[in-house]
Amino acid sequence: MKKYTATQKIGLALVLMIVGVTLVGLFYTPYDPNKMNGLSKNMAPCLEHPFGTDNFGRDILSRVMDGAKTTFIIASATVLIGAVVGTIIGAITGYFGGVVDECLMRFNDVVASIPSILLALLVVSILGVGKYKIIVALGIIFIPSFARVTRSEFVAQRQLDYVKNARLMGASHLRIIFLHIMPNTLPILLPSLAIGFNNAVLAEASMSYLGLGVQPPDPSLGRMLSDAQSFLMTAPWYCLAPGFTIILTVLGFSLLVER
Amino acid sequence: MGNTILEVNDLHVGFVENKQYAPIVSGITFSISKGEILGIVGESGSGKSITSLTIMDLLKHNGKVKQGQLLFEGSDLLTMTKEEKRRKKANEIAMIFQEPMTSLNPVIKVGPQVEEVLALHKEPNPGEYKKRVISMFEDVGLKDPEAIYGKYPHQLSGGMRQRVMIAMAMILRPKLLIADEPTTALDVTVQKQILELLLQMNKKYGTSIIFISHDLGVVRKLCDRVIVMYDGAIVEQGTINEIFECPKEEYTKKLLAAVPSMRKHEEQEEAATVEQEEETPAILTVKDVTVGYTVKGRGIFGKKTTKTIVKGVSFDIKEGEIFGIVGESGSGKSTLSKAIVGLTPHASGEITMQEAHPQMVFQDPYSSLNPAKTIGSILSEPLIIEGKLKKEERRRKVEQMLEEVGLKGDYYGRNIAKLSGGQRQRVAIALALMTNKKFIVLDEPVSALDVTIQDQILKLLKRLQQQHRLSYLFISHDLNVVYELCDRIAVMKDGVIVEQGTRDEIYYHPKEAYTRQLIEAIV
Amino acid sequence: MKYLMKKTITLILTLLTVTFLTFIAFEVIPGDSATLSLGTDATPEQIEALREQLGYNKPVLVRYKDWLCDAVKGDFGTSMNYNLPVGQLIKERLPVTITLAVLSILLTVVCAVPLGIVTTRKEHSRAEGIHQFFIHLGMAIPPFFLGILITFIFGLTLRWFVPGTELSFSENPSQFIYYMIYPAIAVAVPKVAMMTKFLRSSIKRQLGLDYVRTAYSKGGTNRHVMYRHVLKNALIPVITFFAMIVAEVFAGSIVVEQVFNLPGLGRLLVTAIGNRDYPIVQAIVLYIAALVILMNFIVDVLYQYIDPRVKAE
Repeated sequence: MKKYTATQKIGLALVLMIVGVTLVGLFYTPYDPNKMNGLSKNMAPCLEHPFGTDNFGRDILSRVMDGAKTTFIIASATVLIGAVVGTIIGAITGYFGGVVDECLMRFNDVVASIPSILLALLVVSILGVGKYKIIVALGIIFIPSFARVTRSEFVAQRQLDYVKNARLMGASHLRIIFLHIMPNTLPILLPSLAIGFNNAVLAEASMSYLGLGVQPPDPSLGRMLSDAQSFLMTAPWYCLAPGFTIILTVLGFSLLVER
Repeated sequence: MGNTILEVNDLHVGFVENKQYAPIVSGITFSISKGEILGIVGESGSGKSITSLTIMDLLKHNGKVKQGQLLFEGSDLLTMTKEEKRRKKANEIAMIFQEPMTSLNPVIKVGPQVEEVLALHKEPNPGEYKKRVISMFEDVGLKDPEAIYGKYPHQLSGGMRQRVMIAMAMILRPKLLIADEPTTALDVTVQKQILELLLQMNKKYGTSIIFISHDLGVVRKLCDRVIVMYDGAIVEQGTINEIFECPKEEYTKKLLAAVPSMRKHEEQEEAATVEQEEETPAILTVKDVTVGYTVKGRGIFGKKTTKTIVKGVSFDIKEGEIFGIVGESGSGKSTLSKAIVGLTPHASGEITMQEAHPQMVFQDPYSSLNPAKTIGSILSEPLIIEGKLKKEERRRKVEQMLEEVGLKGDYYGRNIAKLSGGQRQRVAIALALMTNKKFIVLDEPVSALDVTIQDQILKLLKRLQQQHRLSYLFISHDLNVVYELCDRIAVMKDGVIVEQGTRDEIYYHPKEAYTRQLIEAIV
Repeated sequence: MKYLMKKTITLILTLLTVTFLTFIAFEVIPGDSATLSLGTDATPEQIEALREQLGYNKPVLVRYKDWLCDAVKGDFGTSMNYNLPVGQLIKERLPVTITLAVLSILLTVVCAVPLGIVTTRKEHSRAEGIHQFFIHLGMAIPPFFLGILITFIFGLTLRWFVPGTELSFSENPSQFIYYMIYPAIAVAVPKVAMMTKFLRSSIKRQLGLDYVRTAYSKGGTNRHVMYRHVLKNALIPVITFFAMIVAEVFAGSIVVEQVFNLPGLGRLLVTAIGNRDYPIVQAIVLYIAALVILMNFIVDVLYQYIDPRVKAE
């Protein structure tokens, strides 16, 4: 159908690569990611360990594959919560308007004025740390942004004559919202899913880096970076693999959906 | 012709997309002499606007002049350097555009916007600039020019903005003015004033004008000579009399025949009286209806103010009748139509009709049909909601209806996005008739269409009306279209019906001053 | 004046909502701070006595009012961990965070505005793909990872600064600011990319509008059209976006303070969350949120002077 631009092609290639490696990581990693080996501590990248080993002699490639899996699962779950709840709220408030819409949007403005990571930290400090808690924490803070995107699309679409036409036919409000308007918001919603996923990856990495996200023994890219920082003098390569995995993932998705 | 100002020789212009050259203008040749007003008419896609943008060197980056000459006073604009061309602009060739709303910079006051023309061309005496702008404003008929100088565009009306644009174009007394549909976005009465102003500029300063328009009536009134363009080429050119009285080419004849015009019918029809059957029952009765919007200020504590758009309007429509409402923008005609079909609640008064769910055909067929769907699924939708027919029966009915509105063939599965404006409007009409409706509201259904397409749609509407004995409420700003179609007419202004009566009463014996003013502005 | 009134009312309402939310958030935590500070060994009577003393038995709204009144005076209670007034702890650390934020914002604006203009120039349209690539790359870099890279390259390898130095603004201002530039870069790079992207799309949208064509038809040069006409319009939405950048900069500094071991609000916050030192968490969230909301307010007020259409509304 549509022709991809050069940047979109690069994005697609990156996404396919990252998704591919992660999928492989579900079933196979070169080494056991958690197996320590006293003989191979802090090894520089070499043939056996393409990204080197860490201070416990664990293979960094295997750990990155495992950590990426955790990060991506958390990010996907987060986006799912945010997108489903946010889209429904945004669709309904955007379509009907009125006082409820006004209040929710005000509330949304307030939430938007708090930096997202601060909000996530607030939720975490209440719920406590852990894999599932961070999904809930990030999921909650992603709801407003999806609600806002969907709402503004619905407000714009609501004015169009085809919606009036549907009302004149006698279509019910739910039918209009989901069958008539929703398909037209997809071109906006799909890219915002990818952007949301990116933000979730970055947020999860930041929180785990701060020690407030995924807890040991679950591996995570953010926590690996925090560990790597302590060995910056002795094993500077340690930080490269997890860091660039994050960068390439986010870069890939955002190039792919760039219009 | 020794006094030729611009000579266009074998001009080819097109767009380059994906390294492919798509021609828009293919080999046109014409010239314009000093003091002449030359009209260029054509439908959308005929290349008339691209021609003018090429002369002004305003093509978008993917526009490309393939070959040709643009001789302005003997020297070719196309071979000049960028700087030479820049100096010619506004100084010798100026241009005004269709949308006075958006053609001025919204965040700069209009006075300085005109003044910068002087600075850009390094006119002497910068101290005098402001005075020159103000006297130019006076020249184009802006009242209180000093106050206007300090106003932002959004504080002016459409007509005033177009006057500012003309002042901007004329301040350096250019030899040639290109006017690209300068009155299309304006109300008829304002349109008349702007046309008079252009004529006045032409007389006073001897400026040649290239007047581009889709509206043949306007061209006929203003221009000395006219060029008819179709599909990037010149079909025919000649004096106004030659083209309008004895057109040679088939396309010109078709175009002229398609123009709805009360003048055309004047001789044969004035005598004929429309028969009025008093007994026919009314399909719609509107009694003393008032419609208002509640405008809410921003924020939770925004103050609510009620704005009344329609004030106590009464009329009725009989079975099988086409009732027209004409009015300029802001007259409340569209709001009234929305209240009648129930899209907007009315504050007071009574609307009674036989039809439980009246349908409406909207102005813009690009927004009134869901772009995400196929024609089949759009037309099936009312039948699905009604829930009477099975799937195959629905499909049969949809196909039958498509045929009736002139869309024979495999349209059922086609995507809306691939249809032209005229085809879309046919689908919209089919949609309105889908569940055997008797009464339809048509809100400016042909305003967005080219004149030949417009003619086809009007004919279709008339045929369907006669076949099914339908009743229409036809809303339009175009008095010529209303004349062609309607039996009875109401004239609206500022939310009230100024006058209503049969078509001939309104057009030939208007009682009110406003109606007379409208009729006189018809071109 | 009406505009200003409306914005002020909105400001007060927003602040009230945020304070109430942060207050109520810590009300839902199972086990209040009385139980927490006395530990699980305490008898019910002891807990009850402390609850009484801390005022936990009053209705929620009354406690919110009391808490808010204290907060306005700068009294956020006492940290359970440090046994010091929270207000004092924050005051000590505020200069670091503010310096970092101000430096980052300056860097962002100074880099993003020229980049946005230069990359949208007609003669640079061939490099469009490359511009896009680098903008997205910039946005994809997590600030803390960039911080780690900067520490390694400029700190450990080039030795332009010593990572982990403890400096204070009052003792050695120039050195302090010099040291802060490195974390500020880490915070700013993704924001530069974001803002450049936003400005570019804003400029491009304006370039397609009719008034640009008018400006060219007057005989305007590319320069004239860009600086006199397009930028005036294109920068208006950027001002709103700027308020969001401010929020993002604070978010970035929380994490980057950790990387560079800076004694700012972020570090205090992260430690406090680890220790469940709720009064500190509450106070910091409030401080940062209030700062961002005030920024938004100022932007809104400036708006009416910049965009003549706002007044007409």
